[in-house]
Amino acid sequence: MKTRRGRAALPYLYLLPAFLFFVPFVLVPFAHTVGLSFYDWDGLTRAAFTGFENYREAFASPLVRSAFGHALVLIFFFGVLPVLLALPLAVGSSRTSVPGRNTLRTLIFLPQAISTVVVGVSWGWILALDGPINAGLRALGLDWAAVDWLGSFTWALPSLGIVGTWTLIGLCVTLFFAGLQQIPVSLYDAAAVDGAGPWREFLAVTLPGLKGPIAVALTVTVISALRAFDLIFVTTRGGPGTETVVPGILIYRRAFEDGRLGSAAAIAVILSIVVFAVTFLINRIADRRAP
Amino acid sequence: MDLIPRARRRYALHGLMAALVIAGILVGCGSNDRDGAVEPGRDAAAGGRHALEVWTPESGTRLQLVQRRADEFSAAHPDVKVNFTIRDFGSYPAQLKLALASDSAPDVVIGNLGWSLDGPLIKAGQLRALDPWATRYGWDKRFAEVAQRQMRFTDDGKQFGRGSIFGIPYAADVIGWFYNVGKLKILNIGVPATLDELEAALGTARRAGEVPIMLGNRPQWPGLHLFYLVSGDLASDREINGIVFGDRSVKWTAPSFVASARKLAQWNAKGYIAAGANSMSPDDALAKFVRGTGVFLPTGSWNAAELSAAMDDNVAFFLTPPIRKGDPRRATGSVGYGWHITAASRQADLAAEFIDFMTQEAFAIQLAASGDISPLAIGGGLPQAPSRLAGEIFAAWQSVLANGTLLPYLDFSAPDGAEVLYPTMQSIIAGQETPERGLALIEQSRERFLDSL
Repeated sequence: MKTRRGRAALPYLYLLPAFLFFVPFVLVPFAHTVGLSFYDWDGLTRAAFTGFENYREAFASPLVRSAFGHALVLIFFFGVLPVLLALPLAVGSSRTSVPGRNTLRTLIFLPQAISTVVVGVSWGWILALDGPINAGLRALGLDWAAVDWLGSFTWALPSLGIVGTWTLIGLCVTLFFAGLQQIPVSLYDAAAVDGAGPWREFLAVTLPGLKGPIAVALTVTVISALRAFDLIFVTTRGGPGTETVVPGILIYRRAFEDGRLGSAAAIAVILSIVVFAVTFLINRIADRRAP
Repeated sequence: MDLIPRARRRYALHGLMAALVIAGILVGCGSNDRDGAVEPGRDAAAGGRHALEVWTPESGTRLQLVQRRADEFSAAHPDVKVNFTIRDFGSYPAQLKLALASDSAPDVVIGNLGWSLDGPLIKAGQLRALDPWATRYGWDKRFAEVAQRQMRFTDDGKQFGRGSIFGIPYAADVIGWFYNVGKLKILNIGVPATLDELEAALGTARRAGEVPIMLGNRPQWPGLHLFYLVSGDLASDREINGIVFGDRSVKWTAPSFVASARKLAQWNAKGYIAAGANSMSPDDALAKFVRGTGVFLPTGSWNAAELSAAMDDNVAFFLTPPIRKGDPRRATGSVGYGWHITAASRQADLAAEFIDFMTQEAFAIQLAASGDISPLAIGGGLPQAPSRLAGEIFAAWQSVLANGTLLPYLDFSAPDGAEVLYPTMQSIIAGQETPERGLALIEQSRERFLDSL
């Protein structure tokens, strides 16, 4: 016999299998990290409880602050830019029948399927001082524009950002294209009857219809910007100087090279909170715009 | 659609966070129990076959030589079996720490000089002071005084460069200048005998359209190696040793270090350092040098085998020439990481015998025959060096040991080189940071580390 209470418990039963994985592999390690962040520990000797000292140090450190600043810059390149570029690509390729459309879509998505390490090594060559991009610039007579992209104190971070844009744009196009299929054709017909031009139609029908996919795309890309590590570790290691240091690089160095596990844990916790906050914000905004 | 009302969900979230924090603190407390003190080991009872557990991050030719020497040890001691555990250099420290904290800790392990590994392990009481065996086997006399300093730590692991001998090294390295012999001839430059001559040679090379200094500074530490080559001339022994071994009366902001850093920035501004160095890996720089780009390649002796294999006698080596012609040359180098006996080993005497065997002159000669250098000052009776380059490096290294002019790596001063020292030096060389401000930043981080000891 189904009781009221039984029915209420049913959703939790569905969540149980996922939860069984979530607890040991996500929650427990995270709790461990939170715990570690209150200690001064080198991984070997007795850990000393220091309260919020690791957090105080992190907030006071110009290097940690600049690492989060760099992560913000990467949010633009990994998240905002791919979404802005993917929108016209997806809409354009769904509205017109360009020959080779599917091939094009596959090509755009391809970077997403390549391991970040391979992406990093390849772009390291492409962006090198004697690499193809600079060779192209010189061929155009733009010798002054040929710079050591990843070794430049000015250009290293934006260059890495562009690599991120290149990697993530395919994901956004794919998400948006799937989203476009969900928008009822009747809405476009209605818009046409009301005399809406392409721009008006985009604002009134397409964009609201893509609200969900845009939120998903932003969530995924923004998280990948905030936790960027592998691409930077392979290409610049945080250099030149500290121009491309991001929280992930600091966490790795402090935990595995300097033996400052507490401090690394504190930065990791701060990073997690920022990730939670940003994704929460993105989804709240997407919710509010609900028609 | 909300399955759970929003307010309740928020309470659930608060509850979850609170639980996480509490659980976290409890877990953190757990790590508090991890006490470094290990019961002193006893030697295994006689009889039966002993297994000596040995850990190393070594690879390539050196690993082959080490294993061959260990086989010779086993041959001389039929009752002893040597079991090697080999881990790649990158993951070695983390894995070693875990192994030492486990119930089945190895007997003999390779560490790493200074604060990256030896210091924390000694502080945690996981390595033994080797003094009793050092006297028995004459280790305290086997190595030059400048080399011994790199082997010593205080028993509390808080001071490097003094106290007991903790590690016995077997293979060494030194930083110097490799150069393209043919290019020097074409440019009509002699091998520089003074620092001024070296600078003049860089200028000549630059004016001839060559890349004077090939450098791959992407990992950021190679720039510091360039700094060693200059500060070795401009700074005093007391200053360099003081920085490394924790003398607070010496600071990175000393005029000699500022002058060294400024010279590098000037070299870079004059175009002496390869364009694109900051995004080039050391391997790529080496490959370019081999293919004929770059007159000088400042780097460590460990690249010798690869260079002479690729360039034969077109590559040669010298240590930074002195300021005054004829003065003994000073060079940054290390006696290499050493063999240690773990506190947990129950067969410390056997371990010591093994270590002694592995570091005797016979091994140094085997190493030299392979084109490598060892911490031992070797007199005559050397086998033919495998290449002219190897012979030059061997002679340069022996002169440094004999003259007592070996300088320790400046990045031994603190473990966080990758976070502050390397990137700041890269910024100084690039002219993005003034030598004064950059070195003040580096000194600040060194002092913070010394305070934390």
